Amino acid sequence: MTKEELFDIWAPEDAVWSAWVKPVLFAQQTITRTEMSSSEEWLTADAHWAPRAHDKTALVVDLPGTQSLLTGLALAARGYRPVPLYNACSGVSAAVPMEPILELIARAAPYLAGRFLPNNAPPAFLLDAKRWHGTMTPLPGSFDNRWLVFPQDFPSANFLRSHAVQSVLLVQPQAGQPQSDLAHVLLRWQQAGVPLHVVTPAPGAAPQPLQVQRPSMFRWAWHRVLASFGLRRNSAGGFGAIVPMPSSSSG
Amino acid sequence: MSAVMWAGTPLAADTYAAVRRTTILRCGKWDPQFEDLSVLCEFPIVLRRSEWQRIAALAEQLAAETLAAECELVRRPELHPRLGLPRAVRRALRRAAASAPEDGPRVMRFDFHLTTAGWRITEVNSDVPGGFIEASGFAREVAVCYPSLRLAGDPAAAYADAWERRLGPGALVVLAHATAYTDDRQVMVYLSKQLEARGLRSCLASPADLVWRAGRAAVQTAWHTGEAAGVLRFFPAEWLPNLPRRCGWEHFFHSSRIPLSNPATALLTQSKRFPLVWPQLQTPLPRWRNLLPETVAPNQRQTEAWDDWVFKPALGRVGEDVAIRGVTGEDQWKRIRRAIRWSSGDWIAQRRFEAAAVTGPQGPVFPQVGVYTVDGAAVGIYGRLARRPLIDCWSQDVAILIEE
Repeated sequence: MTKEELFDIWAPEDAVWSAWVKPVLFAQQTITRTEMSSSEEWLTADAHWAPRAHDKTALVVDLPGTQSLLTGLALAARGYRPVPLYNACSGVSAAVPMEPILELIARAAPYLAGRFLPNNAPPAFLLDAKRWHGTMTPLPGSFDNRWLVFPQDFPSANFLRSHAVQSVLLVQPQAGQPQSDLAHVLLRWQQAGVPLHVVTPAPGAAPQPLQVQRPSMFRWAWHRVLASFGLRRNSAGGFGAIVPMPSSSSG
Repeated sequence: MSAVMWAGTPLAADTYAAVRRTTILRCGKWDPQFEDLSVLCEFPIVLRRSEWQRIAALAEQLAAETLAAECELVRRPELHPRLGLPRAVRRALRRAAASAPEDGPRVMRFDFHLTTAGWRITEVNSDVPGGFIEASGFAREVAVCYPSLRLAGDPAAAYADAWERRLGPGALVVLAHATAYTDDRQVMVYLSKQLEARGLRSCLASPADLVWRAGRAAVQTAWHTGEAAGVLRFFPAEWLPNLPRRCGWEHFFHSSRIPLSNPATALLTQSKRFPLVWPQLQTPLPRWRNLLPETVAPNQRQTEAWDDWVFKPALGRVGEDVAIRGVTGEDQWKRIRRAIRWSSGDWIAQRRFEAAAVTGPQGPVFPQVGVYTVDGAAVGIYGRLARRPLIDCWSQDVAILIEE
């Protein structure tokens, strides 16, 4: 399978939400495995906590590593369109390991293609909850590929509404407020009148209303630039040299 | 239709989709969407050949003047405080007069705007100009769809050619950038392929991965270790002081004995306050004076009569925090005005010009024609397009093609 074929499965040309799929991992794909076995883990993943796809809800799945992708695939079985928003490169000694996600994207492609999702299927935006902290402290000479999300990475509230999305459900490991960078996104939607809910992906879990609190620098035009700066500053400008763990997300 | 440039016919939907996909997956454009905006424009801007020749010549004159001004400014540290540069940068620059860094291929981009009074420039990107994927890769994909039009040039190829001429086959070029920033990484990946296609070796790394000894740099990472023959920097010079001192970032400003592209002394002309020191320079700058709108240090009078002025941060990039009456929102203007009051030395006021609109398929559009020079020669165009007379993050990338 070529990277173009893979991309076409995850971002079909006519699907409403394909434009937001982050291409970086697809551009890096070298894996050509397409066989699928009955033991593939997403076949047993549970997503019954999610509303039915025709309930006009968009999901934002902020779970660690491949767990978000597996959840996205389970949601595909329930009629949602998984939209991968992973915006990091893979590489040797990376702070945020991307190979497992890369590999799963390729391995699950035939399964996703076989779902025959309608072009207007509601979206499940997929994020790696470890994007900012990674799974290891970046060491000198290691590859700092940590990343953040920004409002520009998502459709606007107007776009959501114009495509029949009437509410947004955040899926994260614990109840409470979203991660700081994601709060910027959700608060914009909230202020535009889109109702928000949050759920932990556990059997029997029920969505709860979510009121996102105002993060620092909300709506500041420089947020994007400053956040990027923060990424650098908090890592002591590290990028491979003296790289302490970030003290906080700068969003 | 403007006599100078006009909008081409939009690509058919399926053709556009194919161009977009190729640009993403083969050229490595990883940020093709900005909120609801598809960043890649579905039609080209066509530039009359004679106009391309004209602005190419202007860009070459500007490049020569810019380099001469930088050389003088390196020797004139008393002028540096006027440029709005951070203290740590000024400290590093003071040593450049005695021991200037070795020059690698010099790449700059001059952003031209068509106005009712002719061509004007708003700035030079003399430090770390980007846009190579769009100017080379995307534009080439679009050009293939319009057989009667041609590319102005291939800036990425020209830049790689210049490195090849400088270093020869097998030499290692370190592409130093903020590795966590995917938007920057994509540019580095694209340029590294160009270098390797010419027989050079490349290594993508952070500037903090370099170990400097006696003006020479070695890269030490988990994926590569070795002596660098040259460093291609895609990390803004004013951010270098954020790195730990022990990683030797000051070598980008002085004392390097391997080619740097660009040396961080380029920041002296990258500052939008560069025009404020012209009266003190001996270097003649006739082309700059002719093409740049009047630029002054902002004061109360200008902020009160801001119909006539555009306000910009001295080291702003990609149009952020530019204030233009009727374009900038009231809240943002209040914040910018407050920032100017607090630190007017970090801002400039530039006389506003009237941009000439081009009729696009869905209304007027305002193209920006970014002309690259490599070692003083004009080598291609990075086009951006806005629906309002301000080029910023809400602008699209557009292929600017030359009429045959």
